[in-house]
Parts: sequence; C-alpha cells; structure tokens
Amino acid sequence: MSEQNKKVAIAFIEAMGKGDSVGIDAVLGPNAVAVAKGTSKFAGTRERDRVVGSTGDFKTLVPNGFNPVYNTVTAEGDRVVVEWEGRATLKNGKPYHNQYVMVFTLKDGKIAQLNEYFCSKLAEEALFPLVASGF
Amino acid sequence: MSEQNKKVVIEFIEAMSAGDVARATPCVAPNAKAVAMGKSKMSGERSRDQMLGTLGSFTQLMPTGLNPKFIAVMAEGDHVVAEFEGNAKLANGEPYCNEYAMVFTLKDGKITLLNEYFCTKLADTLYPVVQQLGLAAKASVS
Repeated sequence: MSEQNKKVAIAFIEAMGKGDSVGIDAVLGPNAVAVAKGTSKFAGTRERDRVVGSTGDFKTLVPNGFNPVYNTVTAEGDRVVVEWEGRATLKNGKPYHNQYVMVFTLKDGKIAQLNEYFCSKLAEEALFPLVASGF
Repeated sequence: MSEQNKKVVIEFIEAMSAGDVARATPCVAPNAKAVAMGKSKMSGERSRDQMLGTLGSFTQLMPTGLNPKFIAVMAEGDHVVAEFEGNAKLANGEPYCNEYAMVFTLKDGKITLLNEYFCTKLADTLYPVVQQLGLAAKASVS
C-alpha cells in the first residue's frame, strides 16, 4: 500500500508543479485539506475546492513549472513524506527555489490531508507580492 | 530497524529539548551534520560539534525546553521523519511555537544527517535573542 501511496503523493506534486487541476482533483479524497504550516501570509488550512482551484494559478505564476527535484520519500502506514526542492522561475523572471517537506495522509488511496513545510520567508518575499498583485 | 531508528530520533529530539548533550551524543554518528533548510538567519549546515555545542546552549535560549508535541513519526529504510510542534518560552519570556519537519538519515543506529524544516519567518525573530545571549548564530533548533 505504501508504494501505491507514494505514487499518489508524487502524482500530486507533479500535477501541482504543472498547474494541472485535473491531476490534482484525481488524487484528492472527498474531504481533503491542505495545511501550509508556519506564520507566513500563505499559512493556514485550504479546503479541497481551493486546493484544486488554486492549482491552475501556478500556470500563470510559475509558467515553466516547479520542476521538482526529489530528495527523500518516506512512507509508513497511511502516511507519505516527500522532501523536495523546486526549480521554478516566477512570472517576473526571478528564480524561486523553495525547499519542501510535504506530509501526506492517505485514505483509500487518495489524499485526505497534506501538511506543507517550506521556507516561509522566501515564500513571503518572492511569491506573495505576485499573488497579492493578482498576477 | 525502523522502530529502533525512531527511538533514536525521539531520544535526540527530547535531548535537544532539554539541552542535554550527554543524552544527545550517543544518538549522533561521528561525521553527522545538520542542515537548517531555507533562507533564515539560522539556515545552513552545522557539523557534529556545532550540532552538539549549540544543543548544549539551547536551554539558555529556551530555559523550560522546546516541549515537542509530536504529530507523526514515520520511518522507512534509513530515514525517519518527525513532524512536531514546539511549545517553548524564550529567555525573554516570549512564547516560541514553531512547527517542524525533521528528516533524519541513520546509519548503524546513529544519526548521520538531519534536514530541518521550520517556519523561517518565525525563526528569524529568534535572532536578536540569540545575539543578545551571545549564542552561536546557527542555533541548534530555530
């Protein structure tokens, strides 16, 4: 089960990286939530609809995708943890290389919860002004 | 092996919380290093000696400890990931409750690598306190 869960977690990150809402929708459970940890302006809980809806925004914000480079993938029971780095270029041409730990909890082969850890300082400094401007 | 690795990791985190170098030392392999990820003033790589040294001065920064509340601990192969919240109070009395994902790599039952993820924005608020106390810029836990 863990190997299949890993595939689902990686599929989520790949879909997110490409701004693929359909791909995201396919791997989320009915009541999925994503929780951006920390105290940045991005922090907080997002419901399923918002997770799917905001994925398409990445196409504009990060036109060439996140290009994830995977470090470690650790699965146990219902959880999969993926440690990865983004190799993105923002719409304004600036590089955006954040580092992520995503802790996925799966149920029946779909993502029920995602806890996201990343450099909140970089996210707020580089990404937030673009998001706030309505990109 | 994974269950034993988890015990080592939890022991290390609890030793860190208590600033107990003697307790942390046996958990850490000879060439271990720790990497605080991200762009905070605390970010960067620390050698084994720096890891243990800053761990020892940790209770100066957080006199009553980090008080980790574990959310989940996952292990597979040589890796253990601990997801936890700190419930600390700084030396100046301010609360400091960061959220952590720590990815450990172990070999022969000892920690060889620790990648630390936490809220870098919040961690930067520690920096003036660290400087005031004369501690190393790269605190053991930020």
